[in-house]
Amino acid sequence: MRRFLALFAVLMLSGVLASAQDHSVKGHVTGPDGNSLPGITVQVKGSNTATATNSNGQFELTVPANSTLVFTGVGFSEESLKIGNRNVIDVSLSADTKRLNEVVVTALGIKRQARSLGYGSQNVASTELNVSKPVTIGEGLTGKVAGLQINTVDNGVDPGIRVVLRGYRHLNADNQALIVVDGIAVRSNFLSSLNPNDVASVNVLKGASAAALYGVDATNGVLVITTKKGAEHGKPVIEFNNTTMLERISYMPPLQEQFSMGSGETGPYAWAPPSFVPDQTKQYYYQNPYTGQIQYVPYENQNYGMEFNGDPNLGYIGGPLADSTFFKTPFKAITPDPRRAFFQTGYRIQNNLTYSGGDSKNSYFLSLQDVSTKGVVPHDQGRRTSIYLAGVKTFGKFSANYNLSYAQRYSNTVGGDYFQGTGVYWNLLNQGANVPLEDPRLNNPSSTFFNDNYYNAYYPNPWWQIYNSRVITKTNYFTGVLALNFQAFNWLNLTYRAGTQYTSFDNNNYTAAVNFSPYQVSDPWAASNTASTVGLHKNGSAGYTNANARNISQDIIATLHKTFGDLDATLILGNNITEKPYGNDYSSQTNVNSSQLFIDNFYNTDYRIGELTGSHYVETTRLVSGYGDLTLGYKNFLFAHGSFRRDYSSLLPKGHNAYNFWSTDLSWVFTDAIKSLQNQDLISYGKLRVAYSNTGDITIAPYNVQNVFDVGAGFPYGSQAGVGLDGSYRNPNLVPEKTVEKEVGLEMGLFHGRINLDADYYYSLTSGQTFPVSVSGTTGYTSAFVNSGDVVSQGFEIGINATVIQNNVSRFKWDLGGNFTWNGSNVQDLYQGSKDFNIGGYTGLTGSVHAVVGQPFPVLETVDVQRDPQGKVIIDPANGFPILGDTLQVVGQVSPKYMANINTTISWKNFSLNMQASYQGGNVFYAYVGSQLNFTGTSKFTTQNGRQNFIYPNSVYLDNGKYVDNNKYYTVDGNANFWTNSAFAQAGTSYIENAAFWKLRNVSLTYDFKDVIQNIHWLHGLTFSVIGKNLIMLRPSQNVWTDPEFSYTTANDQGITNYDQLPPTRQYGASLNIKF
Amino acid sequence: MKRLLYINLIFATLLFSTGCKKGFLTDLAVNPNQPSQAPASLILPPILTGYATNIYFSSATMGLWMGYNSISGGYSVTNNTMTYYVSAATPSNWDGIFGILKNCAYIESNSASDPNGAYSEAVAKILKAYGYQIIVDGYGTAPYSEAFQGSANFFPKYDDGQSIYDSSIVQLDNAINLITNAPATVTNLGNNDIMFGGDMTLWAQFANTLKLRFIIRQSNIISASDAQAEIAKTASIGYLTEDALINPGYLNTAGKQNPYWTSYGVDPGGSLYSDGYNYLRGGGAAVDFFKSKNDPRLFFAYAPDNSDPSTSDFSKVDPVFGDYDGVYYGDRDAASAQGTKGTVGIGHGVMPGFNASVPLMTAAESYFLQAEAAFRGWTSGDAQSLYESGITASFEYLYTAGGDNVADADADAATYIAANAGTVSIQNIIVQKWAALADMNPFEAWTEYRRTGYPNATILPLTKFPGNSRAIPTKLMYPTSEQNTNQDNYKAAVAKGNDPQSTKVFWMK
Repeated sequence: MRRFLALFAVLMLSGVLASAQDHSVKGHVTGPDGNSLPGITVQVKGSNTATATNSNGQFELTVPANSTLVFTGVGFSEESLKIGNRNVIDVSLSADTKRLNEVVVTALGIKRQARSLGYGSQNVASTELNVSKPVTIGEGLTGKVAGLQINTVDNGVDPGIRVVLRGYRHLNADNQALIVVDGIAVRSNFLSSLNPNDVASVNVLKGASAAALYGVDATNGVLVITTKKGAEHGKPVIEFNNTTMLERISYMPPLQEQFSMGSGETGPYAWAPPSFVPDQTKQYYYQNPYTGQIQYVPYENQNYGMEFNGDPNLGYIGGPLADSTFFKTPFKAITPDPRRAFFQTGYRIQNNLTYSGGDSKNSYFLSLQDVSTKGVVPHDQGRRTSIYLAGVKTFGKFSANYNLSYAQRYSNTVGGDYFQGTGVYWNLLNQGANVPLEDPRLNNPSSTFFNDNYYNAYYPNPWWQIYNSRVITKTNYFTGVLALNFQAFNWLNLTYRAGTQYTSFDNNNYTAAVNFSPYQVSDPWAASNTASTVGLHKNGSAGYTNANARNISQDIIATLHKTFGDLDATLILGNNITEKPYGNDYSSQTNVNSSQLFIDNFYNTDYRIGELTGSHYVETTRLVSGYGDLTLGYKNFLFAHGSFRRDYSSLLPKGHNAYNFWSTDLSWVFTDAIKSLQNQDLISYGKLRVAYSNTGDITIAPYNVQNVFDVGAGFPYGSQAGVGLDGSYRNPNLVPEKTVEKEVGLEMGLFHGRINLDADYYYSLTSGQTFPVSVSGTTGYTSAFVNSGDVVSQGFEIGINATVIQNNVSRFKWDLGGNFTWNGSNVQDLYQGSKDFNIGGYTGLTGSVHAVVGQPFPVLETVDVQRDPQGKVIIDPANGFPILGDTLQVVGQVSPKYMANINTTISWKNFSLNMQASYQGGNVFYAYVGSQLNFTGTSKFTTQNGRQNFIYPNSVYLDNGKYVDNNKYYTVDGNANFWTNSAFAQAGTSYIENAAFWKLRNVSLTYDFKDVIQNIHWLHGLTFSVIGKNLIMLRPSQNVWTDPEFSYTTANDQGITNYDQLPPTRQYGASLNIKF
Repeated sequence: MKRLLYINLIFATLLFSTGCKKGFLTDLAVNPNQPSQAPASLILPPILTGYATNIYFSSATMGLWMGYNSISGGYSVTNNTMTYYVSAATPSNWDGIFGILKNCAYIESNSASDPNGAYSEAVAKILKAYGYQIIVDGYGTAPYSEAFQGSANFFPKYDDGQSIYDSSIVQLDNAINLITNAPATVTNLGNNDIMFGGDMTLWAQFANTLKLRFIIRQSNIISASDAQAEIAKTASIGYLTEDALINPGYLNTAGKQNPYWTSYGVDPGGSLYSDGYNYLRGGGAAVDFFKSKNDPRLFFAYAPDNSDPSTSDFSKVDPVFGDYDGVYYGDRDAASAQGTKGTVGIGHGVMPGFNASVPLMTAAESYFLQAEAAFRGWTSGDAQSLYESGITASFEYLYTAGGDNVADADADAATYIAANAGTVSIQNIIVQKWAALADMNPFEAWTEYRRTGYPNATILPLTKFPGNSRAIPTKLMYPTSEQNTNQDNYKAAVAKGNDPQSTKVFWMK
């Protein structure tokens, strides 16, 4: 869009192209990423003489001597250059998203001048979004906008993304921003399917005031994504890009390589058959002949055995096999660590081809993209293929713009194991350091060790899982949008827009059957091994889910524009209808054994005997809205704006399904209003803004206002049916949640636009929240949704962009930008005096995520060890262990309190270096993998006292009613008993870590071959970049576990990581861009 | 390019033209995934199975207090479990019963549009009275007039027990009226009536028997004339002469077995629910009562040592009384409690199999109620004969459920009555009722004990647990959920007494 506007500006300015000049100047204009910039206005200062750069960023203009050229382009800082006697002027423009004259796409696709906006928003242009060649828009936006938090919650082949603006406000409903693509609201998972190269701009409407026109969807802010519609400056352009990135595990929790397998019991196992002890020829575990202690148990998954010492007598894993031989491997840690070596180098290859052209009236844009991914987990792979077509057509007073896109996402990843259903990373962490996972005896499916005669009695071979448990997903996306525009009169414009987004999701998963040998099932090592638990045969299983969703939306918008003297008025009236159907079918046949699935390794549940389990679910919701939006501008420096919307929703019962939402804001460009501020060196522009909005959110799921009948417990009994009222009450009196938001902001340009500043403060109160409360059973129900609970969310957002150095002679430029966000939330009230509401959490954790009155939202609660008033740990003198506390306590908030990002671009001649770093802090997270690694004894953490008894650091004991510093009570065990059973091991606080980090997210170095190719006429651009992602992560030394940005879910109960997220990775690669 | 444009145009037009129909929003209020309305005939079966499950939940609490059961030595339990301890967290079925009652209330208020109309409304009223009697007898007071109002009242006030009783008796009268005066057009409940198979005469008799139980429960406080008048109103209906048995068609599938069997019996795969079966052992009081009178019902109510419902050991072919050795409540030192000598478990008359029916009320109980009414002079019946019929009915129930026949039961009952029944008295009636309810409905036995004080300490001694200072509880405590969710009304109710060892339910002396 900016190119179009630039050209437009040129046409407006230059009614007459100047004549009678002295000499000709030509040059090349580039952007912050070093790419050529077409459509940049080049004007002789103080005259109407102007031109615009062509598609290669080149211009030529005849100018008077000693004149000054002014380079302007939407989205870029204005540059003024004295020509002197030069004939060639190359200029690099820095990005400027804060330009007041910029036109941005706001709510419902309404285009407004940046200067008139009275609320916080930030526009991210395509070049900025794509500077590090991201695969997803989420990746491209990360760190670029103050107040926007984007978490990639995992790093698998197709990771989940969570997008939150201005923190959390809804206790029991989604806090993620609304995503709107070309006027159509889409589901948040669509973000991962859209090709970032197709995006012209993303305008981030940060708060409810900016988003108020979205009515019930406004409270969480909006990402308004506008896609490209074509190049608007003449000749067709073909652009090809290849970006290839390699991915490697950057770090794993430090694993110990010192101690062998064993459960660390201090005496012989009670169940050990005496005949095996301690005959060296038949011995399958090592018992110390002097102490009687079993010190090496070669089939254990835990690693609390003796130190590795290379003893050839212990050079085996697992017990004796059926033929009395052993699985031989040296009794020492293998290097490189086999658990790390298990992960391979993954890659992501993007190939992107676009074809575009046209002019300002008719244009087209076609793009094809293929992203192929190989994961760091062996055999994991993914692929995204998309095609996108868009354009603009003009017929006199009519114009139409349209886009159609189709994308398919595919992933094939490892699933849960056959025994406990856990992920491969967890099974990997249950392997000792001397287990040769890369040995063909273990990783070759034809090996007898592959599943049977298995050396680890309790945990499956991770390689078995890689080959035999797969989850295959396929998601198809289709979007289509058509907007028709009719400029009826010069004061009246009519727009009709309709669009749809369709998603179809398929999930196929299967786990193969497992057959053990009778020998293994007989539990020959008396280990209660998996084979004996499972039996000879473990059934396979297969499942299939299909879900499909559509969003259909249409808008009719009339825009009235009139100028009355100094007053400029724009009134927009509109109507919107949105429909969202969703359907889900699920079928599954677990416990399908070989006789039920009657064709081996054929995982289609049709080929079975017995009954299928399944379910069916459909829903449709509709929203009908009428809205109005009035902007009054006075002398182009004072703008009053208000919007109003009335929504009718099918989610709530008739009679109270209609709601009003409104917002109002004021924008004052004081540098234009106050004469004395003009034409001075310090402040080049300045704007003050205030906004107030009253919006809402219907947060209940469809069909939640009418009581329903469930199938009765145990029913049907054969042919006997029975139903009963569901125990949770569907409250027909629910109303939308209400969010009142106030914000003030200041935007300033200093030193002739060298420094740009955008700062704001917001305060929002979300009240009458919809959440489930427990109600008296005597109501007939045990829970009900009510409107109750107040949450305040407030914060500062500051963005600064500065051109630190610019030397157009040496073509050196250094741009530095940064943003800082502070968000503070506070739960002020819940329900009927209740102080604590459980949001949820990962099963198995001693803790969960809560809303607590008087605390930020959400907070983690867990159990601590008991402490004296000074905070020292109280130990039990009987065993030297800490004592477990008995109540859940708040340990910290899970959403970051502070976020900061630094972006910098240094360009010199044809080189350009872009770097981005991020900081988050003020929050905590639960590293469940820490707890689990202590259980397995594979973490280095558990060796900190050499597995010897020790005095618990900084501890006290109770002596005659007083707490006395402990310097004499050693733990009775410094081995497994302490690390797996003590209160330390059980207390959640032992694994609560400070979630702060600094990440160097992106580094890219680009070289533009424009000098090389300037004589090749068919080649219009060639750039080459080397790119690195997540190269460095700094975090508190206690957090040895994982990336605190990860999460086990994309729902509100953030702050919890477990072993289902892979270890963090680092990516590096290169990108080649060619333009024809 | 143009074609795509046209496709989009057509699409947009379609969208617009379908956009403004009537019911555009309200049509979508209909939940396509779960029904918001259901016929009474389908709501009734889960109400009955719900009550069937509820009867058994008292085995491990009141079953201990009433001497029916004890806890096997293989399980360590807290002192409280051995000493009549009741707390707000003691497992109770308050929420479960209110969940059932809500469905009764739904049927009651939606019967006008129901093809089963009068019948379903009558049955709902009867089953609501049945459930409320359990609530009042257990807790004393409870929300009644303000219950089941959803968001109109999330905090229902408590009604006193007397008023709930009075209203329930009126509702039972109304139910009987609805049945006897039902229009000819009303549809029979048929097989969806999983208790009486649609026989409304039996429902009327059940209602009348239940009503008799409501009246007799007030024997300590009601005047003879009031009792007579109330009984006379519906005397013509008669009382249950057969067992009211619930059976939805229990299956040998997970979650679909007889509720006792699924806790204490055998899983669908054929393995013993060993933690359930082995947890409870035969109570000394009950076992010794049967043994002392050579009562062969012992062989059906209890199973001998080392029996296993998953094998044929469950019932002995030729049992002898010496095979049975009960453990007294709280006696942790007894050799049998230690698992060293023959103890007994739940018998095959009480727990015959996965598909066994569950008695909501037995004919024996009906006869004992009638006997008591006659003995008190509230009816003109023959108290002695009704009393003996009760004993015979108890034999018949256990024998037939346990796989023996009625003839054997009648013969053994005759022998037993001749030797042990004696002359009818309140004490004899209640002691025989206690024996007849052995492990089948400990809650009812406990309630009758609270009313009459029988069986006395000779048969049913207090717990043998050393240092016990508690008596047999007089009421249950309101559950923690009430405390948390209905605070003000809970406090008002508690202010009138909530001590499980001293607060009396209104009908207690």
